[in-house]
Amino acid sequence: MLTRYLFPHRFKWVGWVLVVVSATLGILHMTNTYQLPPLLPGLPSLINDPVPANQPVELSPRENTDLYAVLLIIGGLLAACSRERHEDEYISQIRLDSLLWALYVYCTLLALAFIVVSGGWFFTVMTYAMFAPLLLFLLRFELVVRLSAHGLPDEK
Amino acid sequence: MKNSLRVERAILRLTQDELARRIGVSRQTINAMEAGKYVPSTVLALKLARVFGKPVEQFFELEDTD
Repeated sequence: MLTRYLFPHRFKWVGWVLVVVSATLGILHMTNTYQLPPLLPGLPSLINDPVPANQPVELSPRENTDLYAVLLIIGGLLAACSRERHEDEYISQIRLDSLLWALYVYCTLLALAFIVVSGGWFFTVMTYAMFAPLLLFLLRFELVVRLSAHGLPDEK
Repeated sequence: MKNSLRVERAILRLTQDELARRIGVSRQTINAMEAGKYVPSTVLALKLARVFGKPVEQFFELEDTD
């Protein structure tokens, strides 16, 4: 496995903090439960819908969800791709298995979404689907590593 | 692949944690190998052979399904 491309272990908790904070704020925002004031008011969008020639260009304030999404991606990568305290070949094997597992589960869910969901709901599903591979990998990897640590028998 | 890692470890009176430290892996890895859930790399097998002081064939054995 490409362990040389992993981040140092100390980045793991930073990643988890970013994931929890950004996912919480993002879900609260998407469900209209709680919304912070615009955090990126002046950030221009380089690529946007074309504006008709006779209309002035108006910069609408950018949604906070853009910031949450970027933080979720950065946090997810740091949490998923940081070394374990004892990174060894067995952990690398779990990492590889989890990557494959996440790909299979993601593709299955995506295919189901194409079959079952239509209309505006499909857009909502796609919004969450953007983060699904990373989060599926993260959850499966952490679960297997923690279970293998807690499931150890008493030493003899 | 069958192995007798647990027996070899008991002969040397080593805990899983002590053996893990000697060959530079986690305790989960030792446990997974002893339970037959994980087949180690050649490097790790040779490190175990060095600790146990015997060739790898004496504690790893191929099965018919391998």
